[in-house]
Amino acid sequence: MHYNSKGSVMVVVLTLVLTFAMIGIALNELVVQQSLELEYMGAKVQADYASMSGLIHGQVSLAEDISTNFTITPETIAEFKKIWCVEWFVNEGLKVCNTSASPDAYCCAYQNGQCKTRPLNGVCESENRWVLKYTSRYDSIEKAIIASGSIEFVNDDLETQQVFREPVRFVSGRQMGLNWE
Amino acid sequence: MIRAFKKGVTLIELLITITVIAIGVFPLIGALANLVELLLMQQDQVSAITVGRNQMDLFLNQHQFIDRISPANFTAYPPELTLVAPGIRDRSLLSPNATSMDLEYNNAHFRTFSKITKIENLSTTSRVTYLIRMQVWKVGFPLPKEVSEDIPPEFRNGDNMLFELAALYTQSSRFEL
Repeated sequence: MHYNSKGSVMVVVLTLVLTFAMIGIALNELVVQQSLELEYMGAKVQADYASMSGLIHGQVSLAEDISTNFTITPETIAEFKKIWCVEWFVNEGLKVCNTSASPDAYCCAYQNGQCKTRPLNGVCESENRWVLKYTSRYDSIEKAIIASGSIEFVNDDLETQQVFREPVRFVSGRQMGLNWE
Repeated sequence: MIRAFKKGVTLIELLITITVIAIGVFPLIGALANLVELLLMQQDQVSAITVGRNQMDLFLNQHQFIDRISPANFTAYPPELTLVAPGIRDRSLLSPNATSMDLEYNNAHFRTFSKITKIENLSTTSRVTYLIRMQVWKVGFPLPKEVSEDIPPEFRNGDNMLFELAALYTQSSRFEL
């Protein structure tokens, strides 16, 4: 009886530890995934506006077309890399990045408790980036710009010198009406 | 009664309970605290994206936008224009000419700042093209003087730039270049 009681306690303890550990892992996964989704969302918005901007290069041709859809820009590749400033100062009410900030005072990324990369000219750059490919079309009947493309999340592994590309999602169908025609 | 107490909690069981709390519960509480903090940060990021998109759409959808924001009686298109938030006193969803935002949104205070630069390569004799670079900042604690006086807002420690957006804007030129 005494043996069974201890065994039951051990089972309960192990169950509790396992449960808490699983909850912790699940929360961590949730946080990581959500952060990635949010970063993707920001990149997608930037991509939308960048792809629409690309159309304006072709505006001289636009005025001549009255009946067809055509691609104004060929597929264009743009890279978005997260860049941030490590030190700011205020100049005329606006924050300005201090490009002479000491690199020794800041660390951009840590690995195994050690500082891996330090800022250059007061600026840190992320190792991972979004690569955007897009095409843009002009619909002369609807008088609208239609942009579509894809975004890949690129993970640079500095140690192995390898690049991992992960297609994330396809962006399509953003349409923007024009008011300058 | 004493016998039951002795049967209920032994020293080993007490140590095991403490171990479970140390291994399982405290890290879980820490993870929950981190999660809450991160969710608040993510809420700010989503809000900044929303504010940024709204502001940029307002720029892009205005007819002859550059004419509106250029100095009065201008004789040539300026090479660069800066649009700064109007300050807390004028806080509203939009400034009078929709050139900046300074607003409370999702329990945080956001400001937009935009630098608009003329792109000579893309401008023609009949059209003028500008590059719009916009930043969305989260402002921690607006100063009381910004509420009471008509002065431009200032930045302090704790303010963060959360989102940047860039786009081109083209309109008809008022001047033959």
